[in-house]
Amino acid sequence: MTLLQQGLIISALGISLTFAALVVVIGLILLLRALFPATAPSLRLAASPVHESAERERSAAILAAVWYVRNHMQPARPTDPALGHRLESPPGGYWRAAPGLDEQ
Amino acid sequence: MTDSPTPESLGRELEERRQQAAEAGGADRIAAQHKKGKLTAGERIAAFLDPGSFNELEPYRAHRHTAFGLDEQRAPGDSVITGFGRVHGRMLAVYAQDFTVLGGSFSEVQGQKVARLLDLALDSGVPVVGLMDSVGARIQEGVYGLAAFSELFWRNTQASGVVPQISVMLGPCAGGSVYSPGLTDFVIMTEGSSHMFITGPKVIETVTGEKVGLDELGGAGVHNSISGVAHFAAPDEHSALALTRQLLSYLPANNAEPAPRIPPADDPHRMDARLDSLVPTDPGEPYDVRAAITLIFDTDTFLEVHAQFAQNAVVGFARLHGAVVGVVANQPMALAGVLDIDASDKIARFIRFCDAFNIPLITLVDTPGFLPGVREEHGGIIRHGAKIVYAYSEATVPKLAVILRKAYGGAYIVMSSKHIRTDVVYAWPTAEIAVMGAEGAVQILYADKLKDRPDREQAERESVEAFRREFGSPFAAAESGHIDDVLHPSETRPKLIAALELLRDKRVPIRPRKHGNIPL
Amino acid sequence: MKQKHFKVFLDGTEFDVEVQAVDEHGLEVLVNGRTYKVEFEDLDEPHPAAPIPTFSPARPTAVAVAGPLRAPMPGDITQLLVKAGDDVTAGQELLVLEAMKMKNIIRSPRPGKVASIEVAAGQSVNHGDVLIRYEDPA
Repeated sequence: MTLLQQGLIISALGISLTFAALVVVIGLILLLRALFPATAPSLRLAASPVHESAERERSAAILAAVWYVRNHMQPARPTDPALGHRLESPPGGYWRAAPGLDEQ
Repeated sequence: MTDSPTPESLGRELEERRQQAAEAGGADRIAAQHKKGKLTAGERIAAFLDPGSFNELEPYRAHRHTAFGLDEQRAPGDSVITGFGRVHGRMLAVYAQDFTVLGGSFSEVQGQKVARLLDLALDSGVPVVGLMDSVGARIQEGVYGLAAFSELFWRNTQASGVVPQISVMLGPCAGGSVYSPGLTDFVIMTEGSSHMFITGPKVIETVTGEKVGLDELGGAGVHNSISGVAHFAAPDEHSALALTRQLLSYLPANNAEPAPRIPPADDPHRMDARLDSLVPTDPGEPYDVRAAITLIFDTDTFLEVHAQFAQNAVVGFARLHGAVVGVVANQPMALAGVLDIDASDKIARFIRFCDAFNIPLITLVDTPGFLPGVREEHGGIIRHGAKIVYAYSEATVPKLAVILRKAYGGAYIVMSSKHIRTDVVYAWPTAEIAVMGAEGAVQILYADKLKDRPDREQAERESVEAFRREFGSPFAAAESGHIDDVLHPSETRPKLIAALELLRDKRVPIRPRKHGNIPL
Repeated sequence: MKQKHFKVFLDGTEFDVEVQAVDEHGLEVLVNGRTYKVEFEDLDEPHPAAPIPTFSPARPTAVAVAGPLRAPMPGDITQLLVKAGDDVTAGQELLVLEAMKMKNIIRSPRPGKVASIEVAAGQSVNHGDVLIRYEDPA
């Protein structure tokens, strides 16, 4: 075969090898990702486009804080959902008005 | 021969009679009343009751006397308008003395009409409101007038504790007739135009030589702040009547009914952080206990009673989740919150009213004790202070207490302590519950040990601190079971509501007796 | 204090975020290495620094009481808040009387003009001692 052909074949082999390696690496990455999924939760929030990156950082900080507060700063103890209900109706049968009202 | 009456002519006669009765005193006297800035009896009733709800009773009843030319001065209905109507849709009995008829003077017929109204109110179980405006007894009627008074007083007493009775003073009230408002549960006076006294300035000057004006003797200011006879003062007639309507909204119609509820408009879980810093940690700094009351109870529901009398104690009505409660509190901002003769009377009377009418009691405690002094001792602070402990011990309504700061000695006991059967007693972390203040205790207990020490002041201060921590802390009282729990001040509201819910149907057996003998 | 480490995606841009609570109203947020302080306030609850409701002293009706202002309790005068010649209103704070271990503010029972102050700061008084005389025709 001619020199040209030899060269072309080597180039083709080289490129194929490179791409094959790339495929292997990508495959490895995908494999590893599939085996060890990202545990850290990701916050995806829609926000109006801001042009300065510092602004975006600040926004990100605020939103992270809000998320944190809502999810991790719980009230110290649960509240009684029925608080006060009994006061909304008059006393029940156990209660007696002025003693001896009808006995005099 | 006159024509026989027709339905139309009879109807016309009735209308004429009605018209006559409505203008009983005559146009001149009505004008004179208006000129003084006062309303007529009919106008007051119309302003007081729900529109159109008034039903008059005995509008044509007239006197039967002839002495001193009285037979020429017979007015239909005599000197009072009596009847029944509604306030906020609730029935009550009302009477208004008519100043345009013989000065509203208390007469046999007036006594009979009002007594009859009270009988009706007692049988029906409705409150009684009296609009007072009278020159006093009608002397021309002699003892008949006095007899009528007495019938009325007897009925005021029979009704006491059965139906709420309120007297609204819209003019003079002198002589014996003043005992009727004196017997009622609440007295509202109008500034400037109402006066109450047994003997007037003229007689006083003759007998004792003292010169005194009407206002200075028995005006609204005097009776609200000095004598304590009046519980409220209003700047004018309309506000006095509006205040009466407001007061009635807290009271049951009779002693067999619970106090009226309203739909709750405030969050029962509300924990106001401002309460946590309200009480100063320096026990020598005063604060206004009414701020605590405002933040704990339902917003805008506190109606202070007897506000200007014995200001070292605060009493009044409020609501918790729409339910009426009676509030008793010491006021550190006035007289250091001590208990004295006047405060004892004020508190005891209020407690007994609430107990009679099924209104739960909530007490906020911050008092260093009873006021020392010869004046108090000779004035009988012993028997007056005893009234407080008697009233709390006797009361069978739900009783709750919160100790905010100081609770020393005898005052600790009488202010709704657990031992006199308060149902639940809470304390704030700032509470100091002890036999006496730390300073005083150290002086007595460590007198010998401190006497000869060179660093006496420092040692004394340390002892005081140690004493306070060990004996005065609310946790000491909690450990011994003398209080039920220690709370963050901001937790007070939901805790009180929950306790009130528990005790809603509270029922305590009472040993039968005719009545106790409260020291008076 | 709780700490949380996570990623924030804001419109496609990724930020590495760490949140650390400082107290009940504040957080420190680390974004891409930079620290931000975030404080928040629950508007449904009143802020602890919001003013405590005040009451003017129970609205005093004009009590036409003649005579000087007397000490309601035995104690020590620690501070005078008015001087002779001052016009005072009903309810106005006049002086501080330390009694029953409390710094009591003595208020004027009626409007008037201070004629003279009969006590000095540091002085001990008994119950009923005259503190302030009013100039009055009454």
